[in-house]
Amino acid sequence: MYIPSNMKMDDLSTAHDFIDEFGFGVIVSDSLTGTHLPFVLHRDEGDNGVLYSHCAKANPHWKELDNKEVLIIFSGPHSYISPSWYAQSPAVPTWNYAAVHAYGIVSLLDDKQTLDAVEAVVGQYEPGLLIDKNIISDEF
Amino acid sequence: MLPGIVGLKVELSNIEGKLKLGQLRKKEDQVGVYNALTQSSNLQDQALAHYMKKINSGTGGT
Repeated sequence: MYIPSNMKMDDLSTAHDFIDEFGFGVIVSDSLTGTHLPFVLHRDEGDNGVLYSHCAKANPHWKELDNKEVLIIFSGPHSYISPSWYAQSPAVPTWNYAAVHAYGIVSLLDDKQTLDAVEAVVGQYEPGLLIDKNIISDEF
Repeated sequence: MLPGIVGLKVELSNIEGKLKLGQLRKKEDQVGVYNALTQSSNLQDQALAHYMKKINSGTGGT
């Protein structure tokens, strides 16, 4: 991504916080296939953190991911900016936004690890669901 | 459920983040943009303003 030096997120924790808040990303691999998935960041693992997610096996994208380098794009809030909002004119319209690009190598998880990854997502977005077995039973 | 899904782990080698929030403009311009976004009825505008406030960027110090 083109990032002028004065628009760069200045530290890793700002980018990590961004992923925590806007964790619905697009994973893109060599074939230029993209899959939209919720990601959970474990920031204390590895040098730059580790992302966990899961996808439907019916989506063939997973078959090409193991041990491959991927780009994961996280978009944050964005909006049109009217030049009429500036104190000074003339000016032109623009679009303001924040975004994070994360690069890394994929490992496919076994069933036990996949269950952990599923619970990590649920734990982040609806922790009560891990306790209430009336809604999701243990058989799942 | 498990037979139908596959888990992914991605060990990150690099992360890059960009903030294009008008934070390089003059303070008066930043205030104008932030106020307009805050007062907008558009939910995207409000979400952008909320994030700008949270990380204290592009708000002109408001």
